[in-house]
Amino acid sequence: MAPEVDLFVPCLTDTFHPRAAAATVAVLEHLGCRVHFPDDQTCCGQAHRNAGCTDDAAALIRRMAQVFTGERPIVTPSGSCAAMVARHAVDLVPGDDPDAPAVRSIAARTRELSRFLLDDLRLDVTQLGARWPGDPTTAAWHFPCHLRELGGDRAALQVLAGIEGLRVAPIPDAERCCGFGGTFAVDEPAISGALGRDKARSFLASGAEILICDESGCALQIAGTLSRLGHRPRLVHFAEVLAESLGLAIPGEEIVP
Amino acid sequence: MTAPARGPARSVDGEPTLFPRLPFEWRVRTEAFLADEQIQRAVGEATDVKDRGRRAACASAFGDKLAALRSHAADVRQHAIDHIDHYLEVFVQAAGMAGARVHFAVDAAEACAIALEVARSHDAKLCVKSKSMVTEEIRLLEAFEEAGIETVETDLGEFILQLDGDAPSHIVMPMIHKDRRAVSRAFVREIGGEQTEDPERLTAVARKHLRGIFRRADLGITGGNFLVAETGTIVVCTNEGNGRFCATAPPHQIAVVGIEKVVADLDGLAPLLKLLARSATGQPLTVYTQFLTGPRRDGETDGPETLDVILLDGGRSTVLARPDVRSALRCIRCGACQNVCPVYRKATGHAYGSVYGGPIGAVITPLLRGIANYPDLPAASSLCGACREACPVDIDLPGMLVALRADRVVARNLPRGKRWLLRALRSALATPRRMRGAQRLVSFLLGVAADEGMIRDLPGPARGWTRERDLPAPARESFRARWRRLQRGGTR
Repeated sequence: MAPEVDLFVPCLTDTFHPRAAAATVAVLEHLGCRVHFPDDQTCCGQAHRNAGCTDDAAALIRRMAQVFTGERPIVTPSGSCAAMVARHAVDLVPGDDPDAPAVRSIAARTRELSRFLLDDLRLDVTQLGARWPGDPTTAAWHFPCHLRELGGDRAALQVLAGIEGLRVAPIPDAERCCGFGGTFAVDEPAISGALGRDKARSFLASGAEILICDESGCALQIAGTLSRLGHRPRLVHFAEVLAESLGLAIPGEEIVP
Repeated sequence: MTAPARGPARSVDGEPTLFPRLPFEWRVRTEAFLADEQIQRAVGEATDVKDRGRRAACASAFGDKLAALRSHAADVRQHAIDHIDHYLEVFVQAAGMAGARVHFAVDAAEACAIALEVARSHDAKLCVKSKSMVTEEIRLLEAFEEAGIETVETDLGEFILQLDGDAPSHIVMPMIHKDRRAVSRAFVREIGGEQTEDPERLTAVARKHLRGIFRRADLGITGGNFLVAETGTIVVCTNEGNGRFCATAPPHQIAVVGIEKVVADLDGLAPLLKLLARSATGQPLTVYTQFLTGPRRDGETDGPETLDVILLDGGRSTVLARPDVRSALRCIRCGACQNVCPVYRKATGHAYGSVYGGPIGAVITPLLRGIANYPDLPAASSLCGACREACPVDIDLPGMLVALRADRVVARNLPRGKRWLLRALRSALATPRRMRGAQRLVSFLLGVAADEGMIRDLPGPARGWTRERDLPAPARESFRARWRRLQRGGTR
């Protein structure tokens, strides 16, 4: 029986990187999932929680819990939003609150995409049959900080390792923050900017042609910084790389969900 | 006189480095230090070396048992803090039995007053001091100098800072922000040292100078890394032997220690010692790990005739009273969170305007000195979580920063631009309909502003973004809009 999943598309991904969400659908369907997109969804409240607007964050997470009912796993292409729901949501709603059981339920069901592929679908990357469409090339993968909260290991890298013709390595100094940090980027522009330039230069020094970044916020930070420094490399989510390597999408072209 | 009194060190904003005018505005300093290539290079390199040292030392010593050891160490500290009244009482009794006099000080002023009273009772004229962050916290050096008691820092880094009229900027490496050249200049100017930038020769100059002072000193002041309740022992971890000198050569000793440093017993101390030096400097153990239990006993050849222990609250009971931040008191001051923190590495220590910088400083400084006095510090983090991962006692520093941010929101103390931004975002995310509308609007406006897919200049609270980097333009159509247009509905 085909596994059924609910797709959660975070607000930044939805607004700036919808192709990553479409690629997520394509990959999940290719792997035999039935994908549901509860279209009443808005946001997990991460930005508000991190800014200390606890009440606003709690209202948004309650809303999310009311939208994602049922028992299906909730898959999202963002590690930071997955961490927000899986790790922090329950702290925002008191244990005896009427919404608490629903919030606990979404916390238990939410998975970052690469973890879902490996842990839940038990994807065997050697049997994936994925081949990079085009000349063999090298890509640098960005380690998003919030993976630390999800157990820290690099599931996306493991999946990407199964693609023929694509050599993927982490950006040098991978675990050093790119400086995005949500409102931090505008609260502390000087420090955020300096960290962004360090990350951009590490990427440039790696010599890779493609930048794989699975977090929309980091992607804005790194692409924006590279652009300011005069560089416009191709920047993609690992789901897009996977969709293209599985023949589900053509590089540079839109993906129709 | 070797170190003339010259008042507190001052930073680039003209304010006292560790005790600036309040409320403290941290941006003036961060921007200055970011632009200072020497500081950026010195702090970047030193933190890198120590951070790599920590990882290598922990991996080779503990391997996959590190997580279990950390969690055990965290439990030991948490237990002691949760029962701090009890363990302090046990400590006072045991230390008293061993012949030490124990004093409690509510705040810095009281701690200094007690220390001065002890010094005067011994008619102390020359005092040697080992490195201690708590004595920085209470400004002990200034108090002693004002009282006319010559006091010399004997930790090499602190000695240099004292000579140069500077202040520490890192918990473990106090002069991390300085380079050799500055040290050489200070030595030549202040103690007539030879003109050299060779670290070994510079150290030899300091050593020779300090030996004479150790011999003449009549009072030694130390801090304490741990208080062992069971035995009444103060544990002092140092690398240069100066701490041992301070606690053995002069006839009298004062130890100033924060109340939170207490641990139940020697069994509990063991995992903490295993982790402290490895986390701080990558060493298996500090070169000198002293256990001071009371003053010299009959028949002993070393040690002071009297030992006074001053236990400082200094705002710690405020932290203790708040369940959401209480475990910040577990901190064993290893500095690992500073070394790994991307923000500390850029802003550097003096930007925090307090004795404690970096992630632990951004948490405890507002708590110890008032949140309204340090409104910027809790926001000074990208919440990357590297500090929590590095912390040997598993303090949830990012979670605490978020808790302190919430305090600021509750106090209605957010900057206007940020408040406006968050409110607009909250309102846009209230329903899917509004969200689609907001996305269309943003996409349209930014689309118009974009030049080859990048926005180069934004107004209002978003100006901070484009000051440093471009903003990629949003997609023409969001995922949800397209899903809806294709009428895929909730499922397929």
